[in-house]
Amino acid sequence: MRKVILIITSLLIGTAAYAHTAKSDSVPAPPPFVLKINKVTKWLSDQGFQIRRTFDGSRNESKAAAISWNSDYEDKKFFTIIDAGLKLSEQELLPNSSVIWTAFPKVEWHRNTIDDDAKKKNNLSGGIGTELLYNGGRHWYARPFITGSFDYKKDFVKDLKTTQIIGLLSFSGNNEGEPGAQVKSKKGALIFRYYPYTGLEQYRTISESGQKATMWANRLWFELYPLSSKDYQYIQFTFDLTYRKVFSDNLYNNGNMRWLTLGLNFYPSGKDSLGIGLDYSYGDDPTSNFVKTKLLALGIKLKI
Amino acid sequence: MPIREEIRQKVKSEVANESNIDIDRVKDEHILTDAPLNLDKAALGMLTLTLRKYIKTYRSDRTVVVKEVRKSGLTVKALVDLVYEKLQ
Repeated sequence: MRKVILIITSLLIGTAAYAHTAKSDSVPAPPPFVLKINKVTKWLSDQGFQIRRTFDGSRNESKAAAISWNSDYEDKKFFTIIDAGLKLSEQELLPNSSVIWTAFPKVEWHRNTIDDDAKKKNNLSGGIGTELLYNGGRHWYARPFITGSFDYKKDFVKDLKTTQIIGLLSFSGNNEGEPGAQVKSKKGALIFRYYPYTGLEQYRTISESGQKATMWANRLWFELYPLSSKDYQYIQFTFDLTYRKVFSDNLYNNGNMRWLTLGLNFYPSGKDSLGIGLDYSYGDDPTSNFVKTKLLALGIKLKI
Repeated sequence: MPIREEIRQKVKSEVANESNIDIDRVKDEHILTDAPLNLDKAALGMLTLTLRKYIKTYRSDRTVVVKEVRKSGLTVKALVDLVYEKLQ
């Protein structure tokens, strides 16, 4: 536990010092390795690829893919975590209409190396993601969007094959205080942004038993940039809480579920394509068939 | 058909609306997804729909798709050029 506190303290002091130094210079130069990685990520992006933590149809899609170390501070065990998703170029299905409807293929890998079957995860999934947006005016409630996905998932630890269907509704406003709208400082720096989500999820086994779970998911996500300048964001804090109200479930038998993730990230270049960050997760992990989880992890974040 | 400067002002105005900043602070060299604009995936989608409606006011046979507006590293100037090109 001391080790974790030391890491957090060092990270906070280090990031604050770096951000302060960078802020006082007019054009802070990112480290050379960051520039090289940025070049590669731009090339991949130009080819139509995206890499994120997940493509589950929610705001999580804006989170960087992560390779993390350390973690289970309850059992003082050290291990590696990989949370990564690859999305191929999205295609618009109604390009001349007054809505945007896109579809894209995707694959995801969620893995940790914990030496405990109750906490170990190794899931590979693939499927189709989709998105529907409508812009009906200046009010936030006239600017809804629905994101969703249909996936096949193989859980190698539980030897469980499932399909999952997710559909979530949210809004993208552009006036301060509205969902999705940016709260800015007087100098024009992004300080805060939030999105609420509500929607349905269904998970079903691919077997003769046909067990399934249907739930109503309600989610609040926000990001906070405490040391933001108008040109750069070095430090980001993220909050993501999902409450799943179970309608029916003979698959997981967990009852209603909660999933909380908190993130503290530092971006050396002032852009969010490459960073280092701490993640705290607590609750029923949706990337791991809702296994009870309580983790703190330090890792590298990559977003294309 | 609007002239280039009118298109530039329209695009900058819509970018400013989505970014919640004053239009005077929107510069040609700003990248849509980076500071100070910080437009995310949803905001870029809404911006696409606004610009699509604008394009179709003059050229109903033309459109702009979200992939073009979400392109990595797209600047305000590049977006103005894109809309201008669609209206020719």
